[in-house]
Amino acid sequence: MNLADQENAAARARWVKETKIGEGTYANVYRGYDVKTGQKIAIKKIKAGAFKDGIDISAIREIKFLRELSHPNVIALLGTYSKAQSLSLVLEYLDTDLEAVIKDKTLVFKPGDVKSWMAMSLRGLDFCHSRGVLHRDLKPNNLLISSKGELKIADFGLARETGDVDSRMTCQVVTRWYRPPELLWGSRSYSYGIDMWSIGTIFIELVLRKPFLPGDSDMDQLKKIITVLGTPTEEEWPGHKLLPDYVNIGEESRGQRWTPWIMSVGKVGVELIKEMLRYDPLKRISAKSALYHQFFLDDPRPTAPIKLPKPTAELVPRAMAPDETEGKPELKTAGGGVKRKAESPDPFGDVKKVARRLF
Amino acid sequence: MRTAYEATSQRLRWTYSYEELETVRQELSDRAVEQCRRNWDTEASLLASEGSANVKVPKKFPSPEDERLLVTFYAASIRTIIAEGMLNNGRSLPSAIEGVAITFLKRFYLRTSVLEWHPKVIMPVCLFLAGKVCNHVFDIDNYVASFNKIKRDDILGVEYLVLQTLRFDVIVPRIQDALHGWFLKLQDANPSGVNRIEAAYLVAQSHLKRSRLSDAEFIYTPSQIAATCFRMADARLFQTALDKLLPLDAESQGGTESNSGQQSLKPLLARESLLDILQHVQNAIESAPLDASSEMDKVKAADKLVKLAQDPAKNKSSAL
Repeated sequence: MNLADQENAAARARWVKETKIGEGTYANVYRGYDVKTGQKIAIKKIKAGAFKDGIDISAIREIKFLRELSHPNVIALLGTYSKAQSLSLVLEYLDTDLEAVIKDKTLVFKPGDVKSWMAMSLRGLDFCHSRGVLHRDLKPNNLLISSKGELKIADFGLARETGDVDSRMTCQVVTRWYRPPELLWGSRSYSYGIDMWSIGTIFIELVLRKPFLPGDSDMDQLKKIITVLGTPTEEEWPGHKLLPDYVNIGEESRGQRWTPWIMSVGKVGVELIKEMLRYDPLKRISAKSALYHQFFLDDPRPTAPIKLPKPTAELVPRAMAPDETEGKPELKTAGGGVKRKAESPDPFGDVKKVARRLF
Repeated sequence: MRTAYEATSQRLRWTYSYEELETVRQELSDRAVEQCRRNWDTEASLLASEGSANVKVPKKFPSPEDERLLVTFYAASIRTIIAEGMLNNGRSLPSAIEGVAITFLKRFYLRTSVLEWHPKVIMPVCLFLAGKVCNHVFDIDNYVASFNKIKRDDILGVEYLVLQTLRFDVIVPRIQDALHGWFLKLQDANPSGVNRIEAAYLVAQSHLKRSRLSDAEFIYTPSQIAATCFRMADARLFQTALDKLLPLDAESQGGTESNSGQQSLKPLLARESLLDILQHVQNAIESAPLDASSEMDKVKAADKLVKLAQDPAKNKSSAL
């Protein structure tokens, strides 16, 4: 036993598993508690031997970033331990997620509620970005909500660090409905703007109570973006036609009058959303600037987390999102290695599988 | 409020003072040697009870210095493996892998003795894991084929142990980025001297390579190490940058508090303490070997010592 073995044994004794709350081929999730403090926890146990090349890279990524990131709006990794070729992540237990909140039609959102969720998302995201971390899979399902109403960014299985100039990144990230146009056109060197686009679409989803741009395929996604927002001009987004997978999407669109759909956020709110959905990623507003936007200074004030609407229905175990338990779909790379990409919802497939997670 | 660096796992869990580092290694070595001794004694008495008295109980056990020699040798060999392109398999490797793998190996041996796990076994696992951390997943079959006498299980079976011994901290702040930062800073301070700065940058990179084989990263920040590398490369050039960053004359401070004696002492003190730190970093770097071959004789002797002393419990033919 080296020192680490001893610590590991102590760690295992501290976390008690109770009930299984999710099961899949990639990981099982259990609810449990911390012997030391009594705090409720979620244990995500990554299955052994599920991957040919050893410990799955999504698990490595999740540990890698969560070990470094400590912020009230980012899910806390309380501990990690391994046992007989398996890896367990101990996470803070969170009651629900933003997707479940949006879908619960018995809940009524006030403008201050939407503002509060946006402020918390942006604070968490600004923290990640300031530490050089891109999330690359923001969606309501990954914004978890604690019993006190605090929102926390979770699932760093697709995250990666920026600033590595010599490597091209994959464009197969971000769940389709929240994916920005530069990725759909195959950009391999992108930055914080991709997360901001996702935040913009989530902002609108909070108002509409349904996904803003639910594409059926990657091509359909581009079409939907362009139909609603209009064809980007060279002036708006210089050089976009040079992107690797650029394709001209049919006839020129001047866009729809979409802002009246979301007038409940007010004129200033609409301005902020437009800044988040700028075509040119370099002109897209940053998380930090968004936090200083007039929208957050104007009345109404953001609702206190504890007063935010939460699903009233009793919590019952339900299926986790497929990418949570079965791993991200594999993506073969040229050298024979395996990377993972974001799962996209398939509206014609098994709808039940896209249910929210319990932690 | 902590700075971003102060919140990193490296600063929180992998930074030591000289003395702490020495204590950690001494304790580790003492523990491992004691364990070995105990097992050797048991082995001897077991064999004696079987009527065989022929046990070679080792007289000498490896010291912390022997451990350092071995670990450094295997750290340097990571560089050789990468430089020879043994692992490329048609794809170029992310440049960060080398530094990350070396740091992993060095960190591993702050928590494990070479008597418990030989670095020959751990080194390939560190490199394999470093690949994943740098977004480059090695195909396991190709990977083991690149090494002599290594099987899949030698990697996959030890990967969890290594990850756990690294306390699951896998992000390593990149000193090469800090060096690039100083490269830009020097150009700011010396807009006309680009050629000289570029030449110094190249030399500084070789110092950085050497620093990776030292303890510098356990004690100093990436920015301090990077500054030292530049200073070692071209001291006068570095001085000009320092004059801009920490000016000595009160006027260029724009200060109106010249009446306060303490205030005017500040830049001088700041500069002195900085130069003092940089000198310490330089000493640390210069105590490291230049490459894998430069301490070969000592490494061989240390390895022999480890082999003889190795815990009999790990030997299959042992009575234990």
